[in-house]
Parts: sequence; C-alpha cells; structure tokens
Amino acid sequence: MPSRHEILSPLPPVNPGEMHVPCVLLVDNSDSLNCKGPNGRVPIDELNDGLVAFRKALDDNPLALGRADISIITFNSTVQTQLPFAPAANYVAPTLTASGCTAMNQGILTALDAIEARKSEYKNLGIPYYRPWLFLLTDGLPTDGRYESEAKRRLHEALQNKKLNFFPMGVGNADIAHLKSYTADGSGRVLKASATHFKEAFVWVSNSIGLVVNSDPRLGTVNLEPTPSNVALL
Amino acid sequence: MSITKNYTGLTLQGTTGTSYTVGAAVSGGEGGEGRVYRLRGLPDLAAKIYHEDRYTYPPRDRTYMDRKLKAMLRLHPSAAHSLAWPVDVLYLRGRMVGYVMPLIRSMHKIYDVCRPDSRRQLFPQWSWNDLVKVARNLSRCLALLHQNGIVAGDLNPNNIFVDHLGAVVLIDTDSFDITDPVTREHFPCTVGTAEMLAPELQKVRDLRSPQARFSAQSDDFSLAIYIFLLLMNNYHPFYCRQRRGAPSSSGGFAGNANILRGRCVYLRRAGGSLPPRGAPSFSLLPVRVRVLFANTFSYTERTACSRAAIARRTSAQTWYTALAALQRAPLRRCRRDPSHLYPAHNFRCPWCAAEKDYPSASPAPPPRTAPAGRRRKVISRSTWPLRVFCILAGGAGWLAAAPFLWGWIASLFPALSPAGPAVLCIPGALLGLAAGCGLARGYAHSRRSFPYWLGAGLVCAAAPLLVLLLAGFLAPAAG
Repeated sequence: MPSRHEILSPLPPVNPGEMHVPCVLLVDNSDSLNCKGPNGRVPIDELNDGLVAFRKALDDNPLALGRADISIITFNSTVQTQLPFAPAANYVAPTLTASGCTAMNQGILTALDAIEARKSEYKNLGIPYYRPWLFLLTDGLPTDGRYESEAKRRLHEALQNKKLNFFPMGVGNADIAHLKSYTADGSGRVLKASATHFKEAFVWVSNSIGLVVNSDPRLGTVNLEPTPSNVALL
Repeated sequence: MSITKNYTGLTLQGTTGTSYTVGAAVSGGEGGEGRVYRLRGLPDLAAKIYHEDRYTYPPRDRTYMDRKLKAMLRLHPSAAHSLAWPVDVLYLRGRMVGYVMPLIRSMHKIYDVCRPDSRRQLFPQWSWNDLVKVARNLSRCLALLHQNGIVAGDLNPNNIFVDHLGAVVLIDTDSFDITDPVTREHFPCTVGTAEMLAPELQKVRDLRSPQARFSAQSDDFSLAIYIFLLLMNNYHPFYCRQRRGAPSSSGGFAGNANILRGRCVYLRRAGGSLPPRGAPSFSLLPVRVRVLFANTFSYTERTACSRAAIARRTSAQTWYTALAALQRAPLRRCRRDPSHLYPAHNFRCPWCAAEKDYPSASPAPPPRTAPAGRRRKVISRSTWPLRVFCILAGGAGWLAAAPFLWGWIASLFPALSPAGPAVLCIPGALLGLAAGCGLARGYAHSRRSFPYWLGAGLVCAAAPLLVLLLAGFLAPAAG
C-alpha cells in the first residue's frame, strides 16, 4: 500500500461551462491478486497496466478528457481512496500493491458516497452532468458480508432510478452470479476476463466514456462499442 | 469495433476516370464514419474512405451515398476554403468507397479554442477579439452555406476546426442536408449533437425519422450557441444552477432539457435559477449583440417550436455583420491583467469578476505581457487633464464674473465682504471639480474626446452666467 503522508482532497472540475461525467474505478487489491497466473504475470501488475492504459485511451479523446472526472478507490481489508475526484487531465495512474481481504461492499458504499458528493459539487457550481459511471473490478467473493444488504440496496436504488451506469467485472475466480446479484433485477450485464489478461477492459471503459460524452444524454442507454476480445459481457 | 481496412497503397478511381493512389493515413483522421488518408502526388487533397460496415444497409447504402456525393459535386458552394467539400468520388472496383476533399492542415478543434486552458496553451497571444473573429468566420461559413441552399445540420464540435489565424473549416460535410440541383432528390441530415440541437429537433426521438426537420434556422440556433460559447468563455447559454433552497428540476440534471424549456438564465431568471459559478456577466456584451441572442433564445416551453419563434432566430448573415461590427468596436484592456480585453461600455473588467467567482482550476496563469502586434484601438484615457481643465475653468469663470456677482453675494453674506471678489474663484474651482468628476467617466472611454472638452468649458463658463442671471432676477426681489 503506498503510504500517504498528505491527505489528498478532491480537485474542482475544470471547464465549468461544459457537461461533466464522474467516473469511479473501484478496484480490488486484495491478497489474491498476488497469485501468479499460468503465463507468469501477476494480476496486480495487469491492474496497474490497466490504470495506465485508461489514461492513454482518454488522451485520444480530448473532448472526453476535458469533461470526465476520475476517482480511484481500492478495497482490501479497508477501503482507501487512492485518487479523490479530479479532472481527467490531472489523472496519474497510481501503482497499487495487493494485500489483505476483500471489503467490496464497503468499497461500493464509499464509491456511491463519493459520487453523491461530486454531484452536489456540480449542482453548486451549475455544471450539468451525464449519468455517473461506476466500474467495479474484483477477483473473488467479498469478506464483509455485514454490509452486503446495504450495498445492494443502495446500488439497486440508484440503478432503478437510472442514476448510475454500473459495470462490474469479475476476473479469475470471481463469482459471476454473485456479482450479477448487485445489478438491477439481478440480471444486468457483468464483464468477465481472465485473472492476468484484462487491461483492455480499462481501455473499453475509457472509450465508452468517450462515447457517452458524444451522445445524447436524454437517451436511456448509450450504444457502447463491443467489449474487447478478451473480455466477455455476460 | 468498425472493420478498418488499410487502404494505403491502393489505387482508386474518380468519377471521370482519374486514378488516385492512397497514401498514409492522416493522424487524428480516424472517425466513426471512416478514415482520412493522404493522396500520393496530390499534397493539397485528402481522401475520406468509409469503414467497410458503414452505409451497407438500405435506404442509406453505398448507392445512396454515391448519389449524395455526386449531388455535392454538382453544388460546389463558394465557401470552398472553409469547407472540406468533396471534389471527387472514389471507387474501388466499381464500388463507392469514399471521396476526395481538400486536406486540412494544422488546425485545432473548436472546443480547444473555446476552453480557456487549452486556448492559452495553443494560442497564448489570443484574447477576446480573436474569439470574436472566430465567431465571425463561423457565421460567414454558415451564411455562405445557407445562400447555396445547404444546411449543415450537425454542428458537432469535433467537426469544426480553427487555425492560428482564426479561420474556420467545417469537415464531415457528407452529413450535410442537401438537395440535388438536377434530380431534386433530398438527402437529409440524420445526426445531431444534443447540446447544440434546436428545440424542434430536441423533441424528436429519432433524428433519422422524417419528423426531424433540419433547416437553416436550426443551424442558426446551433450557431448562436457556438457564438455564445466563444464570447462568454465557454459557458453554455442553457446551463444554470439553482439558488440554495430553491426546488431543483425534477429527475437528474441534464442541461439540454433547458433548451426545450427555453430556460436561458442569462435572458430570464425563472424559478430561482442563476448562471453557473464563474460565468461572466451577460452585460459584458453590447446591447446590439444581446438582442441577437434574445431573438434566438428567448422563448418559453410552449412557444419553443412555434413557427414565429423559429423565424425570429438571428440568421447567420446577421450574425456575420454584427460580429464584424463588434470587431471594429473599441475595447478596454484590464488594468489588473493585460490579457483581459472587453467591450468599452463596461465599467469593470467582467473577466476579473468571473475569475473571482470561480478561480479557474487551470494551473497556467494568463500571460502577463501584452500581446505583440496589437492593431485594436483600446480607449482608456487618463481623466486628469479634463479635471484640471474644469477646476481652472471654473475658478477663472467665477473670477471673471466676480465684479458683477460680488455686490449680490456680499449683501447675502456680509461676513465675506472683507475678503474681496477674488475669493469667488474658490467655489468656482470646487464646482469645476464636481463637473470634472461627473464628466470623467464618460471621457475616459468614449471614442471622441472633443464633446467632453466642449461640455466642460460650457458648464464651467455657463455656471457663473446663470448665477448672474439669477442674481439679476433675485436682487430686485430681495430689494
């Protein structure tokens, strides 16, 4: 875990005259991501590569770069906000290390709170926004079952009121059926990839944000491009 | 992912049998529709080749696009240098694959120009009058299109390019709304950008349906939004914020819903809404320009799509003349920050006020040096010469009138009589000072200073004459 001597606070949005989209990358950095896969790669390295690729893909779309606000929240035994909300142009991928259990439900609650805080900041400033994005990555079952019902309740509420774009991704030995139970009606889409080959999913998320920014916000769903070949949409 | 085949090296045929050899792909030329390549041996032209899976299904298949491109060849509008208009259609083994157009070089997208931080990076010497120039050029481009009976339809920010001289070029012209001059077939526009769409198009769910009527007036609406973004520091006319405690709009916070409702907070503050934080004051613009925005944006939810509201919109030609006039109008330079330029009728710098409201999150400070090669006349005179003249003229005027006035004033104020008539120059000077302060503001910013000198002289000379007349009337009455 990178030691944090300074408490980072969220940065105000740039380009206040344009519509913004808040995006949270909620990623698992529990100990199981240290297990070497068959090709010798370690999932935590793939995750770090994915976070770098995310920024590179956003750079190709300057319109989205000026409109997206990104936050990275990690969960293992505790929930840590690695990067509080900041404009995408300020995004620098952190280098994560893996250890501990999987407090996924608390991570979901923290992410939802962060999104609400960012939305109220937009409202104070008079910045309209697209539907926020929550991308969740995990490779196993959560260990904090105490918070599961509350996390599911809040997620379902947000999804039913169409206030959130939620994309859970399970890599390696993740329980896809369990992840599906977090989606609206328990039948939403879940991404699946192998434990050591999933960084393209971050590029897909970044491109999808680019599509959202170019789309009509009145429409219920945006036609996203197909997922990359190594990521299945179930 | 669209199927992208690399066309580099292939030879394609034009409509009159000309052969074109495709060169390297232009960087940044990849879009949703197709990809742009250079042409070997033709440095000023480029080829746009559609992706394989584009325009494959009727009614908008390759034969349809072939007819549309041929119709565009027949149209050749006069704004050739500001449009990436097709000059030839390209075929590979008899199948239409794309078209030839002028190559756009070293240009930046319009949102990079509208956004303050990227504009400072790309064009550090630019200031507000350069943005007026860009707005003027965009208006001219659209006016020329409309004169030729062409409607742009989708004014996507990714399709408007600006260069370092402020020239504007529109690309993706193959999505424009045109009518073939020979066969009279109508090729409608089927895409739009939500933030710029006129209300009559916002209402339509599917822009491909016949209910979606793109017209010159819907173009004018989008143009007005772009001009607003350029002149008002990238703030959108229809985005607003709610005053604290005021009920917020139902369900979500989509700014584009305000376009349908006619909620332009800069023209009309309804329901506790305010401009967003950091937005400059709308009164920074001259009244003539504000009226043009009001003609386009002031409507209510009921009248949004009425024929009257649509017809009232300011046309591109009117915008062009108004912006050309705005370019010639005098500007003031802010004393605090020399890069702030604004129309001369403003008493305070609107950019400083906006920045105080929401300090821009951009780390780069504005350049402190005045830009070189300034050709604009900036009026900001020092008012001290006028004030000194008023004081002296006032004192002299009253001194000259003193022999006539002294008798009357001495009778009114006996305590003053030992002082002598010369003491009258003191109230004269004070009155002159007051007149000078009153005239100073107008004098500092007006284009011509002569009326103020004339006025100052008359006031300071006329004041003692008036008092003389009064004394003449009153003295007999006082007896």
